[in-house]
Amino acid sequence: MLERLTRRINRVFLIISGWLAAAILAIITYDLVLRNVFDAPTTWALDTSRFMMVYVFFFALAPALEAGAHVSVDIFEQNMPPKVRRWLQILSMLFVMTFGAFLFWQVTRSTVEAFQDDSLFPTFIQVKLKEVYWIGPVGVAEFLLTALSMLLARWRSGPEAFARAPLAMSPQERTTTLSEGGV
Amino acid sequence: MEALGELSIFLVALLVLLATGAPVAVATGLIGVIGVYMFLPPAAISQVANITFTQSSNFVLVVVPLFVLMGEALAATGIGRDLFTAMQIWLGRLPGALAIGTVFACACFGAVCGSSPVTAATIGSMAVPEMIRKGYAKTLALGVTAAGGTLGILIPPSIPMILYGVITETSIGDLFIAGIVPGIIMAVLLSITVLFQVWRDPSIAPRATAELAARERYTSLKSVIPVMALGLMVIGSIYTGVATPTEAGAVGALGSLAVAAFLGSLKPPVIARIFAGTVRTTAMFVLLIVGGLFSAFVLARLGIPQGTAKLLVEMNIPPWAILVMINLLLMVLGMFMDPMSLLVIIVPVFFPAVTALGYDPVWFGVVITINIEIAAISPPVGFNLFVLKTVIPGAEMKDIVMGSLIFIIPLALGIIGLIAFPDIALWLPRMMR
Repeated sequence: MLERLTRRINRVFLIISGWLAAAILAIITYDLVLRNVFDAPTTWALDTSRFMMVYVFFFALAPALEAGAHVSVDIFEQNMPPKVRRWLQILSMLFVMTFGAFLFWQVTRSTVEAFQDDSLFPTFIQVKLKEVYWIGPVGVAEFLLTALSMLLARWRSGPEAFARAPLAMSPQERTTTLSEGGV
Repeated sequence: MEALGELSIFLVALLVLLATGAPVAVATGLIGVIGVYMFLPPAAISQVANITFTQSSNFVLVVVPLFVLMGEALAATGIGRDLFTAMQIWLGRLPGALAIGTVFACACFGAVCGSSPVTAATIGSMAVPEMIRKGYAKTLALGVTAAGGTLGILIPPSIPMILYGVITETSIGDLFIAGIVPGIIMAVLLSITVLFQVWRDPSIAPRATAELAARERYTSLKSVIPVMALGLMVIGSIYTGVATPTEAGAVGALGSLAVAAFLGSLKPPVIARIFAGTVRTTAMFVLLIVGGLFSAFVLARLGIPQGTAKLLVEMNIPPWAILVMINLLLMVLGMFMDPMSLLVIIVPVFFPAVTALGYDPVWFGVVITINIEIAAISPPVGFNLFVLKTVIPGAEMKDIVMGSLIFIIPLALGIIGLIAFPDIALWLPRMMR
């Protein structure tokens, strides 16, 4: 139930994040053309793309966790027997949840302050902090939910599920997956 | 010495967390949290939110999705195959032509892609089977591809250089420009290593015998030209000041999407996959920076980087010897840590020492990037080794490792060359100013 819910939310978040990334590309290109071709740079492109980047990050945070895109050093864990691997993966997910909980607490605190202060960003365009910050707690909450769902999945699986990492992917999927998590 | 003791505790605690397989960003972030509650006023925990919002809204980081998108879009096309074919045709009857062609195909692809695994996967998935089909030794075919793939992060654009630039507040434009000459030198050194291997044992790379017509040679360039034009456009726009690195990233991303569309690769599911990969990598990257900068903040409040710098500067040995020590440490750590972790964990600790010794931050960025290249092909966790194991059906890890090890020598020689002649990296950015 939780797994299905987080997967659905993550799919929506990923789509929104992708569209926002496309919008950033369009905005920066538009400004570059206006500045260099028409000598008329915009006053809003730089700040708007910055704020959109905040949304891109928080919307994609949980989908990245779900896809295993956050880089990790798995040499130790990969060489352990399935039983130990299972426990290590449970432990690592508990660490993710612990850090996620601290992040959620602090990001929410900053967001509540932004709503109370109703202050503006020190940028050229007039944008209130709260209009950007609200996505923080939303993105981190979904990150926490995804971590919980992954933790439960690992908890429920028997050691045999940890015998070997699946590698049955198409070449295209492999390239895409490899590009995440690596440099 | 106290600083070194605290640094050792930090590294051991981090390694314990990393050993569970926890994401690097989470491990560094948790170390920061633990550090705050053990040594600093609890209010310092609020820094984690400050860093998160500041970095995710940092205009410099807008460059990340753009350059990642550029690489993703081109990786989705058949351009890697065309680059390799062109190199194969042009290098013709040179000893080890296919292996040298792989190096230069990787260098060309590196000019439009800032990722080492993507470069190795894109070129390798087609170059390695072709080399093996033509009778090349498996070790040479796999090793040269793993090593060639590392050029993706030295030749600009480069994702690790962006990470280094953000962590150390060094100009990303300067870093990109500084990577060009060392990148070309590395491609030449890797090619010389191939020639040396073939000279020692000609049976590992049978020579091509077929002669090609001039027309065929020029036709083979049809895909090389857009890639090179795109690479030149990106770097040229930064070099001439027409565009900031972020804007150059937009130009590159748009250009690569246009090339992909022109080549007929841009179908709706592919577009979705390109953008999904782009934003996931972006989230990974930003969270890595958040965790890294948060732990760096705690380390700085404890005075560890400053103490390490003081200790190293006061040591009665020449600065170059300290640099050699740092590089050796990076090489050893690179055997067990992935490139991103190396950057996030090690750079904040040693950067103050390196600058206190009078070295240029841009130059150190290039040296660190070459170290990361070595890490990418060093067993047991070299990322490119696993990339090839995954994308080449039937590739055995022992062949990949055996083939890659010899290429650590030219990369290490590159670092020695940069330490001896820093201008190799610095003259181009200096000309730009």
